[in-house]
Amino acid sequence: MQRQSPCKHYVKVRADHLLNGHIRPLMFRTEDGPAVLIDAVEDEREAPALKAGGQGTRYVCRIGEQRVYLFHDEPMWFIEADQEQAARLWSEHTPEG
Amino acid sequence: MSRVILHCDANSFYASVEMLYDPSIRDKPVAVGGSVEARHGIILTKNPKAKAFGIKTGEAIWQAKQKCPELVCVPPDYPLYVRFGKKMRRLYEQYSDRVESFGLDEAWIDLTNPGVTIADGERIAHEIRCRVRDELGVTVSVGVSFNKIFAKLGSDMKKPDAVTVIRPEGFREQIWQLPAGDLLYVGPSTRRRLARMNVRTIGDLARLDTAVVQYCLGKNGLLLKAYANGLDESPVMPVDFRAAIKSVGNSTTPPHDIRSAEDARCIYYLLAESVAARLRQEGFRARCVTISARTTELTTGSHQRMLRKPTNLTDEIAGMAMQLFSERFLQGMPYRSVGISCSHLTLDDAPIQLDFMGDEERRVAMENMERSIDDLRRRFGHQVVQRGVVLTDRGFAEINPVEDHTIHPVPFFSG
Repeated sequence: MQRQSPCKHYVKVRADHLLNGHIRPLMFRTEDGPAVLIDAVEDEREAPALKAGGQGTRYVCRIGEQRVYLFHDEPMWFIEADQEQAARLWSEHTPEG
Repeated sequence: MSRVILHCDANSFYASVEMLYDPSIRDKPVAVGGSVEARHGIILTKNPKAKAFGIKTGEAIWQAKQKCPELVCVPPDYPLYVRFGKKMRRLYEQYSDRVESFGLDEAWIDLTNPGVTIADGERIAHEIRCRVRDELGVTVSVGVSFNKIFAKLGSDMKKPDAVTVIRPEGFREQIWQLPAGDLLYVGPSTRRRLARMNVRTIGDLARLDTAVVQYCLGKNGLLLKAYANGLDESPVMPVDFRAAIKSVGNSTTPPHDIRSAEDARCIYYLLAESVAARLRQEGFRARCVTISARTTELTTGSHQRMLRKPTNLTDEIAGMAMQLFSERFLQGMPYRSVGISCSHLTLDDAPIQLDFMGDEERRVAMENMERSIDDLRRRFGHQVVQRGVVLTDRGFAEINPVEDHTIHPVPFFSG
C-alpha cells in the first residue's frame, strides 16, 4: 500500500539483478513522467527515509550533478526529493531519444 | 558454560512504525487504535508523548481523547507491522541461528558459544541497538542475561533505545526488589494471589518455601519460583523451529452485539468457515469443538464437546457450536464477542473408521466442495463466495475472519 508524503515519489524502476543477488537500479520514472537515467550508484545500504517516510534499501544515485536517494521498500520503489529537487530531476535528466 | 541471551523489544512498535512512515505526526502525541465503528476502538499502543498524558494501552479511544484532545489516533496497518517485524528478525538472524520471536516486536537471541561472555553479549546488544536505529529507523531496548526470563526483564527496565545487563553474580541486588508482577507469566490473577500471601517482590517469591509455593500455586508456582531464582533453563528455539499445532481457533467482536440465535448462527458459521479452512490448509481434522462467548460485562464462558468423528467441515463444526451455544449460554442475553476453537487434531490422511449408518460419501463430497471454495477464495478474495446465512446481516457479512485474523504473541511454552 502506498503511503504518500510531499517528499515521496513512487517510481517504476528498471534494474539489473546481479548474480550475487544484489539489485542495481539503472533508471526510474513516475507513472507517466519522463525516464531518468542513473549515472552511478555510489552507496547501497538499509536506511530509514527520514524526510519521505518509510524504510528500505537506500541507493545513493548520481544523476548528473545531483545525488538522489532511491529507496526499495519491498515491493515498491520511491525517491526522496522535495518538490524543487524533483522538478529539476524530471526536467534536466530525460535521456535523449 | 554460562548462557548469553539477548531479549530485544521494539519501543512502542506500532506507533514507531507509523511515525517512521508519516513524518507529519512525528512531533505529536500518537496512538494506534482500532476502529470505533467496528467496536474495536481501543488503544493498541502509544508513543512517549501520548504516554505523558496518562494514555494507557487497552483503554477506549474516547477516554484517551479526553486526556489528550490533540491525540493523533491512527488505524493499525498489520501487514506493514508484520513486514517490519520480519526486517528486524532478519537483522537479528545475522548474529545467531537461534532467534525466537515473541510476537511481532520482541525476540530472544541466543549468543551462547564457547568463549562468548556476558561482556560480549553487551557489546553485541549495543551493536544491534544502533543498527536497528540507524538501518530501520525504530528503537529497541535490549536485555542481556544468562536466561530468557531475566533477559526479558532487562529489556523492560530501560526505555527507549537502551541496553540493560543482568549478570549471574549480581541479579539478586538488581531485580529482587522489583514487583512480582514484572516477572514473565505473573499476570494480574497470580499477582493478587501472591499479594494475599504477602509476596510482593520477585525476591519474596524467590525466598518463598517450595512446599508453600506448590500448595498455593501448583506446578506453575514452582516454575515461577525457579524463574525468580534465575533457574530458567528454557532454550531459545532455532530459527526454523515450528511448534506443533495443537488447536486452530478464531474469535471476533462483531459490529453489533449478538442478541439472538440467528445472530449467533451467522457469526459461528463465519468463524467455523475460517477454522475449517485453516484445518484443511494445515492438513488436520479435529475431534473437539470449543466455543467461547463474552458478555457486554466482559465476562467470558467457554464450553467444549467431542465430535463423533474428526472433521474439517464447516457444517459439522458450526453445527456443534450452535448446539453448545443453545444448550450452555443464556438465550436473549447480549454477547459482545464469540469464538470457536478446534482441538484434538489428527492428520487428514489418517484412516477414518466407517460405520453402517455413516454418510462418508456425502462428507467426502462436502470436503471436495469446501476445498474448491478455498481455492476460489485464494485466487479471488474471501468475499467471492459467501454462505447465505452470513448474508442475513449486512454488518456481519463485512467481517473477513481470515484476513482480520490478528496475530497474538506465541505462548512462552511452545517448544
